[in-house]
Amino acid sequence: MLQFSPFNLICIVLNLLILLVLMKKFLYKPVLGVIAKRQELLDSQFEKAKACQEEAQQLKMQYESSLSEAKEEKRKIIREAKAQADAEAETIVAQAEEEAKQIVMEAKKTGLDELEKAIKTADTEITKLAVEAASKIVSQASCEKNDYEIYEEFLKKAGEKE
Amino acid sequence: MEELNCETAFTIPIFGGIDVGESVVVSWIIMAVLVLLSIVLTRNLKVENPGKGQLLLEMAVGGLHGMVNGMVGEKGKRYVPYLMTVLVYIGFANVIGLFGFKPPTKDLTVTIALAGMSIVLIEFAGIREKGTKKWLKSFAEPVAIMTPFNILEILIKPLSLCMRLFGNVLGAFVIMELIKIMVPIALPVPFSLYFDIFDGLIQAYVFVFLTSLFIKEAIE
Amino acid sequence: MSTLLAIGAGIAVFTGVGAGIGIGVATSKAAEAIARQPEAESKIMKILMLGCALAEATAIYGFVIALLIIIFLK
Repeated sequence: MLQFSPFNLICIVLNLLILLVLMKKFLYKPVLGVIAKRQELLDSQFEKAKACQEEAQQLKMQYESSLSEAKEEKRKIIREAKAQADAEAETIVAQAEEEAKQIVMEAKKTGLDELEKAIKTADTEITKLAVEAASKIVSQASCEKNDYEIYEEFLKKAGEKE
Repeated sequence: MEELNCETAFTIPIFGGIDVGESVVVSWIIMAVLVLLSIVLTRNLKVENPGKGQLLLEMAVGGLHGMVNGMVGEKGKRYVPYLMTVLVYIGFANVIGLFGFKPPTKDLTVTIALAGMSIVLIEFAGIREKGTKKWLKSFAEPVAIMTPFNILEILIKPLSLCMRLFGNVLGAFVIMELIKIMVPIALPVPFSLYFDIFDGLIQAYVFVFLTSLFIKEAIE
Repeated sequence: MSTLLAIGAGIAVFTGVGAGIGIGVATSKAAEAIARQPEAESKIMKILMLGCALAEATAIYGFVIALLIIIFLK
């Protein structure tokens, strides 16, 4: 246990050095290499994922902006259409009002005309009747018919005429 | 007392017979097991979709690498493989007592070899980092009077390393043998767990830890 | 002679007392430190390991000296 032999010492040292070389070749290099490679792969994938996300973000923003643009346009179109429709409706209403007014006016005018005419004809009739009645009265002065009867007749005729 | 002796495994019949110690043979066995295990385990490593075994292996090797790397510092990266090898070797050597072999670290020759390699590596690292002149000058620091103590430290460091490992393993071995003589059934199991596995691995860790600490000291 | 050897070896192993006290003190301080700063546990454990290993070395030296006494003075 406590004996010391130089040959064994050299053997152990050589053993350790050989073990170092073999372990380096067969264990550390492959395993650490694989770990490093995986790390690299992960890094690259991460990078890729990041780029993808960025792109997606950009696309999203683009879409959003275009969407908002479309919305704006829609609103504008609607507003325009409304305005146009309003204007049209107003003109239509105004026109209709105008027309109605005209019609009413015309109607009034014709009514007045007619009334005038009627009054005129009634006047002439009345004068005619009056004249007739006068002539009758004059012609039948001797008749037994009294004034009252003549008046009645006149009224009747006038009523008929009316 | 016979159990404590490291017997000669065989004798090479040249130069009047060279004795090859048992520890050397057990070292060969450890080497063979380690290298075969490495070859078998690293047979088909995959970068993508690694199996459970590969993940475990990666965790073990990567964890070991990270641990040693953290101990020796960024500057001493080139010494990491050696330190890892020594760690694995001492760990296996301490635990191999479970399989009926005599632990090689129970042989003073082995621990002297390990400690000698450590001190050579430490001084080599110092020379490599500082250059010979600065390295020689560093013995006179912090004051010139400290020079003999600093030179003595070259002897003391490996002596302490070697004796610590040797004494621990031997002590654990002796206690285990005594327990086995007293109560051969059941009782040795928890003690074996502590002395053979825990203590052995801790001593391997301490050996590598101190070596890497000295290396770090030498290169900074 | 052998009684004297045994006594000498026993005295040599007495170094273990120092190591025991040292490790005990170090561990109690480490426990305190971890209780105070649980996040620094790994660092504290590392330093504790180192201190324990260094303190334990004393006991080991005593053990080795005892063995040397027994084996070489027999």
